[in-house]
Amino acid sequence: MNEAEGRVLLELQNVCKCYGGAPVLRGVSLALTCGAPVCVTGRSGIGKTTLLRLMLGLERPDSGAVLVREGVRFSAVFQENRLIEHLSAADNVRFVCPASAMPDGAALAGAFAAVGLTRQEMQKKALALSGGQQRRTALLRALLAPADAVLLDEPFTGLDAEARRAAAAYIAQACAHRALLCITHEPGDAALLRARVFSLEEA
Amino acid sequence: MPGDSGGLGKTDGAPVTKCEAPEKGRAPFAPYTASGTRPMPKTPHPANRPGGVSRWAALLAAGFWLCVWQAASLCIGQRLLLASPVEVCRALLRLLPTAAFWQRAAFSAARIIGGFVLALAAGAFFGVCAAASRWAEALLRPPMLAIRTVPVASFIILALLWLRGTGGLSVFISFLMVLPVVYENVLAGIRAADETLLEMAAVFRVPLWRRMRALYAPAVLPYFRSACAVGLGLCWKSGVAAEVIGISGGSIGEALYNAKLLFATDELLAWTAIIVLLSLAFERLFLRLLQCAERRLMGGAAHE
Repeated sequence: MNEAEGRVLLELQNVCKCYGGAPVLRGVSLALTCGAPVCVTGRSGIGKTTLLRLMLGLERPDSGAVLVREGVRFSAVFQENRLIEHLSAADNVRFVCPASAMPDGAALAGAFAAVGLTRQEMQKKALALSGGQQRRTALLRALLAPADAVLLDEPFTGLDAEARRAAAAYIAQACAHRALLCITHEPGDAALLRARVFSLEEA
Repeated sequence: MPGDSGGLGKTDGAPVTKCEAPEKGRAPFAPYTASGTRPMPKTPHPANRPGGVSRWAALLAAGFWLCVWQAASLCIGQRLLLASPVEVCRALLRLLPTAAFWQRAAFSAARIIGGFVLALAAGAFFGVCAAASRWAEALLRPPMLAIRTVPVASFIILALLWLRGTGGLSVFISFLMVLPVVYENVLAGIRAADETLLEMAAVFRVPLWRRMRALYAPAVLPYFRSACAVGLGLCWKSGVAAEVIGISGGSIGEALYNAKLLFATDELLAWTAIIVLLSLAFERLFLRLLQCAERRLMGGAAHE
């Protein structure tokens, strides 16, 4: 067992968030623990992406608190792919890796192959990739970055069933000892990631 | 605290960063957005805009206007008022083999381009400062506005008083005219950087140098290129104007002034043509150098 396993990296305590006076999140409490993946579900507009942005520190709660363990590094797949168009898929991944943790060509090719992308596709500019290929590149970027907590906002958008399974298997393997939060609409994704479900509607 | 699953709210001694609701009256927390950034439409470089004319069409147009000029000078029939293109060419051929011509060209080019390069450095520096801090932007706005709106002649007269005999008149004036152009374009370019990508880079804690190469440089370069093209034209116009008013010894401006005194219209137009050619040559050279620098900067932007 990894020594980090079971350690709480981030905790939301009674978090409330409003946009223009309309409440989006009300009294949400959630802990993110190493080795215990969480799937956040809920209908559109219920605040799933807001929850992720609060965790990343991109938004501030109106009330409640977001507690983050000192030194925790995050990586994320955002709602949009946020790839740098003039860089290749491989360079988009390298962009977020520090020199000390830069994957070599073979490791990178292996990771791309694990999510169903070829060496040729890996060298293509992000702009030239299809929607599904871009999504998988964004996913690889989040998984290969040296992060303690990985937050994924609908990472399987644009992927067919087979690509979805391959991506989920790779996520589960890459995040076995990390904290993982995955926002999804598909109830089956939690099973694929062996994650507990956190329903925002119930919360 | 390995194995700890007691939650961060409990006091386990581990350092924790707390992000709570902002206090009343305090500005809301917005950590990864540059202050005052607003999305700006990216303007294509002039050379890439649709509707450009072909080389042949440009040559034909130039030939047409030369014919119009020749016809006009023949109609007027007075060399003093309007020398013909043929007479200007003759004057040019007279000037070109002389050492004085090359000395004058080198004298003016060194000073005017020197001022331009200084303005590029200062404009880029101030542009970065203004993008980084609202205070810096507020502080820099009045002088930049003043430089842009005050007539160049006023600056030339002031510079004559301040820099009498130092030979720095055209350096100072070309610097001053180019500075606000570069400053405003660099600032606009930085603000045109994609905010969602900047947010992504902040989440992944990408080092600043890598962000500058991969995110800011592609956003700023089209603006910087436009600023260089505009600035090179401006620096020659204002620099030569300063030399004419200040009668800088050994400069192109002094040659223009002498041609005016002697009513040598052909020589005046010949020097004018030389200024235009020098300006175009420097613009070409500079934009080519910038293109090379761009390629080097963008290559390997991901992991250096």
